[in-house]
Amino acid sequence: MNNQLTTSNSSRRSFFTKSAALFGAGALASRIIQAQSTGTPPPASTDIDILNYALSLENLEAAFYVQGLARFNASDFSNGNSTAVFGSKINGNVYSYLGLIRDHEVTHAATLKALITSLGGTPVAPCTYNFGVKNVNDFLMTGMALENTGVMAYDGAIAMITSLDIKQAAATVATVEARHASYLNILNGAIPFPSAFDTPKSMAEILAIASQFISSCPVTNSPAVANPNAPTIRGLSTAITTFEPFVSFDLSSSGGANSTAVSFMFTQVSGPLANITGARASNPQVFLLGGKGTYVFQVVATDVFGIPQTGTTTITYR
Amino acid sequence: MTQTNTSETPNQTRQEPASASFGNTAAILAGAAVIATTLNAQTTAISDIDVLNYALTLERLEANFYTEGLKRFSPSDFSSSAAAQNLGNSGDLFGDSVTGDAYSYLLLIRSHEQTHVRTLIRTIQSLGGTPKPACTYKFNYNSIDEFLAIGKLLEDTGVMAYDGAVRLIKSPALLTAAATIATVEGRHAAFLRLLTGDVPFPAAFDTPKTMAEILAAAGGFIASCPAS
Repeated sequence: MNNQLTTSNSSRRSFFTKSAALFGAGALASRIIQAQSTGTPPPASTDIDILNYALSLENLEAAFYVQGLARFNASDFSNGNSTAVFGSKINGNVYSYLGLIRDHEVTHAATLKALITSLGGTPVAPCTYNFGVKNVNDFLMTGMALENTGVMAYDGAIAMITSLDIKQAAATVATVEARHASYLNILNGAIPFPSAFDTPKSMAEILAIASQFISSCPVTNSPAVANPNAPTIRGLSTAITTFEPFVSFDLSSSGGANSTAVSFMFTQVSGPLANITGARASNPQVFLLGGKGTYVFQVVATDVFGIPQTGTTTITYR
Repeated sequence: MTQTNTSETPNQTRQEPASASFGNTAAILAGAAVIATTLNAQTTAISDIDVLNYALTLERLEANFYTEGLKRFSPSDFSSSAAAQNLGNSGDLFGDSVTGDAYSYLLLIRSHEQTHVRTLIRTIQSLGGTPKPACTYKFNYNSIDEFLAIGKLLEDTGVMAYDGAVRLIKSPALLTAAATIATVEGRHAAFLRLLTGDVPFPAAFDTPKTMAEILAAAGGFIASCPAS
């Protein structure tokens, strides 16, 4: 059975590699957050917060399919990965099934928006997204990542919901996301149900994954979340002088309000060539590959409400 | 007609006369009606252990279904199934790479359902409850295509059952666990629907169903249950 399950061609193998890279960040963040949040109960989010969290993901998914299906037509898909894995009958349905998924995500977003409004909340607005899709295969692969992320998000959020009706509604969306995920996995040649249990993920973990696809969000989105306190970044000096070509950081004492967990995104802002390891971990390292000079890096710490805090450090390598 | 026990209780009494089967189904339905009445009157009367045993009842049924069916049908039965003939261009449901995987995927579903059963038994025991024993099941299929059609029905039923049960579970940890099973059932359902030529995701929202509705549907596949 294992042999059959892992039977693959090179395109599938390369798909798995890319997929692993896409999810790698999430897995890493997962370990960090588990380590950080041990013994610390999550903050009490209101149902409106959680619905807005779900809406931010559904907005992202809806935009992904609306954009992608406007850009690619049915015949584009017949040249994609799906042709390699499906017979012609099922392959003939791919474009219409993807259209159905798009309609579901649009419906989810519209329903959440109406629900949040009816509860007296302010729905978050869609952001500007960058999915980095160059061709149909990229589109299918990113779709798979988004659907599986959606499953982990709903599975992780459901226990935080107070209202029984909203809990149940969330479950009926979660299982539809799972159906989408199963289908997208098959389209990409991946196992549709890789485990007996899906993996629930925290808001912080999911937002770290989702943030890869978000270019910018309307500033009006921030007041919609309950927590007014941005996280605190600790362990990041604003100016560092080094005589070695590498610098390590320990950001592990950073946290949101009430010491809640945060996710990290460490990036280079300017300077010569540098390599960052553990960009999403609490212990990033930078390797100053471009030689002596001035390097500027920034770290964005995001709390479970999606509120970011940005810190910068200027490293002078002599 | 196939009448089988789950693999977990091989020594259990097997066949029941047909009349007894109907009697038991009626008893189950009556029980379900009582549960439904209780549900409407007082939701808090249903403990987490009750909900876990309800889930166990369904998972045992599913596990038994795949265990028996995949003993009976081989990969070659699968590749010559009407589903494969109907759906594929040259007799294959999927292209080359997935055709070989499709039977393995059914084995994987079987493994998941068995894992769900074992996990639920352990969880119920760890909470001080008594896991409900396996029943004797009857799945009326004569071909792999009929088998797949019942599989689709069971998976869709599983989704509706878990989606409906989330409002009954009190423990946040158990609720999360139930959600992570519900979504796996949703994945299975999408695959079985694809195999049987149906839209894998028929609606933007799945339909939650009550214990009474689900037990009534499941009752059709239960020949008899131990008196306890």
